Amino acid sequence: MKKLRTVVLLVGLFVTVLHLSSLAGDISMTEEMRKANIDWRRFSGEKISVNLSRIPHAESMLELIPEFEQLTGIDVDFQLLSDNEYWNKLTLDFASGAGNFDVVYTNNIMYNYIAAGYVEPLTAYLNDPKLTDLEWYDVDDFFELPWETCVWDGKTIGPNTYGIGDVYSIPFTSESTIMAYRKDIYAKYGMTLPNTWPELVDIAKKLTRDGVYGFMSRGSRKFSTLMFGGYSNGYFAYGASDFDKNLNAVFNSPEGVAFTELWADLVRGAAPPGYLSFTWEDARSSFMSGDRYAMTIEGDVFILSWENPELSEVVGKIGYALTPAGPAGHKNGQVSWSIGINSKSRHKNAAWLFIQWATSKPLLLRATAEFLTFPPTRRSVWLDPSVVEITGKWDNGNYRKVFTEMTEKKYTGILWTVSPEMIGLNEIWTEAVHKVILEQATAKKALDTLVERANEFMARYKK
Amino acid sequence: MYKNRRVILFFIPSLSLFAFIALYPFGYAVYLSLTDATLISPTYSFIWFRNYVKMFLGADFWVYVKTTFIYSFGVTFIELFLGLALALALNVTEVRGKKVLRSLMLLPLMLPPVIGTLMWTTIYEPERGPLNFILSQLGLRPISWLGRPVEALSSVMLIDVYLFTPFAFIILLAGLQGISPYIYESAKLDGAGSWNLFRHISLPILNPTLMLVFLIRLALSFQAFETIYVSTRGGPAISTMTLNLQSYTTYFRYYHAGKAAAYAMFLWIIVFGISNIFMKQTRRT
Repeated sequence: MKKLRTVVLLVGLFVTVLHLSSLAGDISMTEEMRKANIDWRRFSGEKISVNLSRIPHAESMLELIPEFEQLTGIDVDFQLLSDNEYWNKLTLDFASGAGNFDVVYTNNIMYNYIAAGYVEPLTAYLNDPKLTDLEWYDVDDFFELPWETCVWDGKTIGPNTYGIGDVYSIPFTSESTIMAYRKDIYAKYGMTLPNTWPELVDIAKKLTRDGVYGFMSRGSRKFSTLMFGGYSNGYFAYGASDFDKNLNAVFNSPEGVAFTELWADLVRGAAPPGYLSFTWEDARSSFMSGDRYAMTIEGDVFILSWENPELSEVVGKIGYALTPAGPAGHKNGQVSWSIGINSKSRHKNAAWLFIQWATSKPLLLRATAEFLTFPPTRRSVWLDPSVVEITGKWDNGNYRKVFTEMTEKKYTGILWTVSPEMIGLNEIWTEAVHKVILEQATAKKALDTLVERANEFMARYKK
Repeated sequence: MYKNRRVILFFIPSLSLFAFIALYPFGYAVYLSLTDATLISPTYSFIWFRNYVKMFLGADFWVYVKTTFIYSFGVTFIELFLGLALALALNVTEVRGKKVLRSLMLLPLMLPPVIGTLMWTTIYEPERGPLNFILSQLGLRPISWLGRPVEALSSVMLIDVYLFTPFAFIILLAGLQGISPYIYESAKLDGAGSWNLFRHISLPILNPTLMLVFLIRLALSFQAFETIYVSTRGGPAISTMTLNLQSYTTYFRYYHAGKAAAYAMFLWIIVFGISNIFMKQTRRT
């Protein structure tokens, strides 16, 4: 018995030393946090529920939670769910008004949640000097577009009607759709970067030979397919739109039809047969294994995987570029992942402290530099030497040029009409484009039908 | 009927439970289908049958109906046929491991449908799945199992067959084993061959059981959800979009609660109608 007690004590001591030593390395970040002129411990003793799905920043937050608990004395119940599970549970928690989730992960395209009053407006919390040290937190450090797309008044519906009203969530990572191509395959067949979309399709078709496909991206029946699998970049670059400013559906405009026909041609001529069942996960992993694909148009967040020698077989072989411009210039679909507060939460102030902490300069820098939460939404993180070093290696610094151009010139943004129906509309749009690809309908016919259905969706918002 | 009227009082607890669990949600769904309620708007109005009219006039509505019928009748017949064949085979086998074999064949039924479908979705993976890997090793072209219309519907039906054939199998096996061997023996003495034994003895005796399995599987397959949602979500385009999937999509993706309820009501009417027809058939035999 005495021997057992000794063993237990020694093990306990060992574990404590280990724990303490791991904390020792993080004291500097806690010191950074303490520089904020607010009382972090104001809500000590409260308990908050932080709920996220398996997104990049989630893993980093999970590791750093003990530091937050130490800093504030707030007890955090952290839940990490699979993507599908998370959205279903979130919708149910919102719709039932249960308020079980305090901090919620949304993204900037969930305008439906804002319209329904499910998420708490954060402007008041930002402007309360007792809750937020605005100088230390530095809202201007965020890139404009990711931030602005999280701002909406909840009712003004139309193209680009974000940016007015309250901010409803804080973006911690922001993904844009860009072109990634195999420099070696392009060079082998003497191809250069396309200047127009028809050129892109032509090159892709020419490269579809000898077991290689000229194009690939996510293609399955899901709302995000057209948004982030390349289609939207070209569609909006052609000058087409989903709705006009009077909220009439205009998918069947001549530009819309023309681009949709071009896109169907691209998929039929250059994409693999399984394209219409490709998820973003398929796109991400297939591009980096072997030499099957010459080009993809996908989210730049995947670059982390593609340039990771432990995961990717094609490190250093990929070139990055903006998708071609059209008559309306360059357009890049973008989504920002953000966190907000459940409007039915019973611990809103404590939840706000968590959000302030999780999206602060020191934490986001750590998230990107150490945990590779990418791409960053804060300028200071993007320009930090450690981040410049990591990202400067990609395509010999070309990716940094692409990122800078699309951010400063504001090519990236929410291209689709801001409304609570955005998600549903993109799904029926994907359905229509699928039909064109499968030759079950002509582009004109499919888009005419889409216009009818979309007008029904929007009917209640028209004045 | 009851000598003592007070007996009815004893039914009240379970009847109330039934009313609460079954009748209330059903009634609410009927009501919902007559409104334009959505998941994201706090207000809604009563619109009578406009949801149904729009539903029937929808361009793709009859495609959903067709897909639903192909799926349901297709998997039900295949499962019945396959289940019967397997039951017959196991029934006549004198193999030692008969009980073990029977348990193994029940395994797919033990799988939660979500897991089973996830498993098959992985098998069907166009790039990294074992099926296409085998095909490529054999020098054949890979197949887009879930990415082309006909292939997708067939693949999804195959998942259903995999998961639920054991159901038909085990019930029909029990039915077969309930047939007294003496009937077969006396028929054999009269010179009956195995086909005649099957056609004139097994089949007629099994008829009610066959009907039962058919009815149950048919009704349940109209409500099939996981096999489609987890694998294709109704895609590509609408090639695997059954009425049930469309109801779910309309509710959880488009947030149109009223319209979703209308689809669900229509589906209910179909299943109710078909069950009635077949129940009447069963009573007659």
